[in-house]
Amino acid sequence: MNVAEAMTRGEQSVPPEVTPSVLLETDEDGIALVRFDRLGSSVNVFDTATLGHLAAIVNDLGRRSLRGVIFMSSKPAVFIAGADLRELAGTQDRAGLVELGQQIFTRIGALRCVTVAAIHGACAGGGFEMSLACDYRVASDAHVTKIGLPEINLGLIPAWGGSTRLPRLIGLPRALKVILSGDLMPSSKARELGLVDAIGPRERLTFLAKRFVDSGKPRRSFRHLAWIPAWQAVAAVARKSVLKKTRGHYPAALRAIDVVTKAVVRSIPQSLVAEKKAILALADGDVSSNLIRIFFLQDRAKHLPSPKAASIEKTAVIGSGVMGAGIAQWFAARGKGVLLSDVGPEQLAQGLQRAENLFAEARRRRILSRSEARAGMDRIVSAEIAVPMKSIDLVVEAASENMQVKKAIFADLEERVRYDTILATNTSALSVTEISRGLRDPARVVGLHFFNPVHRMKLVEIARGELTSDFAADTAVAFVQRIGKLPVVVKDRPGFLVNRILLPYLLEAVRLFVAGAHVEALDESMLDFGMPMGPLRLLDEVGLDVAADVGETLCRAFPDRMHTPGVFAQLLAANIKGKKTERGFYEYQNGRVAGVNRFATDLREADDKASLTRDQLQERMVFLMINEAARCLEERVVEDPRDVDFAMIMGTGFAPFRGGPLRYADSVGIAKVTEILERLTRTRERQFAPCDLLVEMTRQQKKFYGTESSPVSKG
Amino acid sequence: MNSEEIAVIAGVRTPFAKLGTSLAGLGAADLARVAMLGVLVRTGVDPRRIDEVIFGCVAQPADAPNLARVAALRSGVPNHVPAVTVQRNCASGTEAITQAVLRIRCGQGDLYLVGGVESMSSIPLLFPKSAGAKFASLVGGKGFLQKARAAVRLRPRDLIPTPALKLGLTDPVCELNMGQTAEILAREFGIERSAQDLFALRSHMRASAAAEKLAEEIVPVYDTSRGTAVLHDNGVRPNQTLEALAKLRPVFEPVTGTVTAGNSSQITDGAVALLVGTTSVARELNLEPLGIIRDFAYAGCDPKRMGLGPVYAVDRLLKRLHLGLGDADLIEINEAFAAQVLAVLRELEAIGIGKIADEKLNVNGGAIALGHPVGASGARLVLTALKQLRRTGGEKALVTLCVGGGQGAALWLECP
Repeated sequence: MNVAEAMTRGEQSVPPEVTPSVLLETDEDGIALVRFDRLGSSVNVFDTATLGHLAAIVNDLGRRSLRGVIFMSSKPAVFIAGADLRELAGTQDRAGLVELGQQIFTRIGALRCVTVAAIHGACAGGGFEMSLACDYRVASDAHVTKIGLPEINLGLIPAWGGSTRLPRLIGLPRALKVILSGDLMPSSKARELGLVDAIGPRERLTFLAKRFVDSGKPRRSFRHLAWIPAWQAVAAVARKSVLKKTRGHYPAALRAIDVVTKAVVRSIPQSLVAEKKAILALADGDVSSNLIRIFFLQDRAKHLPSPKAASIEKTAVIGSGVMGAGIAQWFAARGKGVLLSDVGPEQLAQGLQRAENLFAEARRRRILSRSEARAGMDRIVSAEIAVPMKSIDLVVEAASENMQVKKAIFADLEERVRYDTILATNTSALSVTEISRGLRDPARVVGLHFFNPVHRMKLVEIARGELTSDFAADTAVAFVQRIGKLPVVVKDRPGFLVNRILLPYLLEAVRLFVAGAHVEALDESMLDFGMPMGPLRLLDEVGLDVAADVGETLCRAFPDRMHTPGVFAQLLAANIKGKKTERGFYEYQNGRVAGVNRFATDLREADDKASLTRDQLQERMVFLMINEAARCLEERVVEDPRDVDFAMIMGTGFAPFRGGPLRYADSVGIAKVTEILERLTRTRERQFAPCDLLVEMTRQQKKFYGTESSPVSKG
Repeated sequence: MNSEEIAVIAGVRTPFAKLGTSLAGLGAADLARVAMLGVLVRTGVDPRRIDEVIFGCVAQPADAPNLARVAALRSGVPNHVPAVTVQRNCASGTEAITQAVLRIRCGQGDLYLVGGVESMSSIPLLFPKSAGAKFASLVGGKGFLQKARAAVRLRPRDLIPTPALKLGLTDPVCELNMGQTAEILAREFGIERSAQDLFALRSHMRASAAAEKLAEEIVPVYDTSRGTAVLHDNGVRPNQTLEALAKLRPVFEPVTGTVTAGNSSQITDGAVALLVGTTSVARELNLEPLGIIRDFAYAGCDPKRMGLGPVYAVDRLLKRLHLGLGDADLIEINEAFAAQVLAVLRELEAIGIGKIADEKLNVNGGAIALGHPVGASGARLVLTALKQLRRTGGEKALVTLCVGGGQGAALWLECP
């Protein structure tokens, strides 16, 4: 059904029994219950068909004399998840879709009876915009209830009335905060912000909604009018802060500020027109299409098949350093029992404190309640000596990056675990195959590479060694999905995927630093490109020792194009290891940058003469990453360019709006990429020599993403 | 009725730490959790296999009623396994063990997670009852006037709290503090200050000599907010001298008394957990038991002379078993007070039960050096005695404690 058909159907009265996604019943109190229950799906979304059904029902409601209407969902964990993104991304008639939603919600707003949205489950984007058109909103206190307007994360703005109605409901500054953050919040926070009027248990939600029906129509809100004198100032402040954060790369935030602030001085119809204009312009742009693509890639990772997986309940983590403790905390917070072990009680004590601090942070950020955090911490059981491990389903080794140490740990583990326990290593660069070699059953060994900080980074690389069984790999995939992380399956090559691509970039940054580039200018150049953090700051954050470890593995594997600058050794010799020692390329005080580390800059061959421009710096660092990314595809570390881009965005924060290194290469043009790399090679720097795949693609005029499926032919 | 032999299958304890020191940041439930997990993790026993959790605790925290249940759930013991907290003052730890024994005998189950815990540091301050009513009318008063009136009625003495610890250590029947009951025994048995101090010194010297052996019982406690590991008992003073003990002032009778902080047990935080079950369960779990619990007895006595409780309990136990004191290779008498232990020794001899040889008594020191976390001590003595029997190849051990309120507890352990 297209939009036009939906509109005409909306004009007729459609009996409820033929509307599969939206059901209408009227109870003895004269209250109509509108239930969203998409057939054959666990979620509700607004697509053209559903909107058509809703339109018909709303028209019907308008003609009847009712005390009230309650909108609700029959799904266990979703109210309405928002607009159907596939349709929005694919449709030829976006304007029609936007108008359709706006019109229906406007009609809901115009109903003469009392309207209440009874929200249980995810209520996002269009789902919440419909709720905003109601007189009242009540929400369940369940965990699955999450409310918000996440459009900004997709490079869009709420355009079914959300940008118009929210400032009217909760005032301008709060509305801006909700829309610009794009956060989905628990009902308690939504209540505090005024997004919902009351909270209750799920089973009492209809009762609660009826109480609001009994209370009658609310008085019209004029709250937004108070902001008329100040809207320009609010907009200016918001714009300044957004520009500082996004460096102008994300047009949606600026459009949102414009539409939302002006909503207080416009009439609703005027403001709806502005919403529509803004979203249509944004949806046509590259930024939004890249962000929507990332959304789909995340969805793809969440549903990556794992047919042979076993379920994991009890885990063990070996090593309670930053990574080990972070992994243990995440497992425990996700309901898994964790046996945490380390070489001695002092190490364990610090590891447990790290976990405790992470739980405290989760409490502060209201991700976990007090009792949930305590229960989580209680799930971590410590062992400073060898204890029986027969009940453990999965062991994650997060000890020091030393092959001998790891081999010894795995040999010992094999003696103590059950025959079907999966043994995983969190190594960031060592060979999984090599670690597994010599064990009686090497097939149970798999790489499970978490990124630092574990609680923030959603990506987990699952590295299949040469001997890894499908059972081990599938179990790892399913487990990673189960604990709310996003898996990418990679081949067991040095540095796997993410570090392999990231490291040349970091090494190049250090080379440029040694050659005299200004520390801050260097980092600024990459921030301008859209990275979340400059490369030298990132090195400080990761730890120079950790980076040097990974670097060593990669440099040994690829000596022709990678080598660790000597400055690493000099800094490490002086116990300068980055943020954790309060000195790296920068100096730190209380965890904050307090200036450039003079000791480090004095080690350079040349000083702050800004020999290279911002664009030149960017070019060298970014194109080196593209070259390595292409090589990973060439070597089949992964099979699909989408995996490369997804992993780099989720694992390193690679400028999401650019869609990842390969998508960015496509947008620059492969021929141009190759040409730039060849030009850089002329300075006798071999690392820039374009890889065979790029050269071949240039010759054949191919792209990474195009009509053809993949640049690497299958088979 | 189950007539199988009942074993202590495994056991661990936390370090014992003096009031207000390294374990003060943890509550009783936290300490009990560490001990419970310590024994479960080290043995690898599946907690679903346990029939019930029984834990002793004298001063149950207000925020964890039925502390055993709270600690069990927090240790990953599944919901379907019940838990009960037991209280027999200083014998609460043995009460947990003997309850398990009775349940097994009755055929109620065959594997119990038992033990005892006390966080003396967490015992609260109490406001007088009179103040409670006034606070209530202050908070609940309607309007300023009522509130003001209630405020005016508060007297300074209403605001002076009493440590519940002090109340707990005072017998409400005879209104004597435990230390005062020890002074009575010292007077009646003519036990001089010097004899008491000498016994205290012995406790410290033996405990410090046995530090390595005692460490085998201990699992570390992690203070996760401070990032520290508590690994050792901290009450033992290896450099204790008689001169230093002699300088201490009597606590309970300021001028004429003999009982000092130095010759009394220390006030301490700690927890002990044991697995008690039939020997066939031990075989099923593939664990070698620490030892067998042959029998036990409790006996009552004059609350003013509660320190003599062991005499009556031991008498009763030996009669049940048709055994004599000399049959025991090892004897643990809880060191509530040096005067009290010495009085027990003299009374046992006086009424013809027998004489205890010095080399059999409290060979690894006692509560004067290690401390007396009241709810935990009984279980600690059983653990220490069985480990020592295994070490020396001894076969039989007698464990006994005096109990506030006028009781004694005694257990007969064997290491076949």
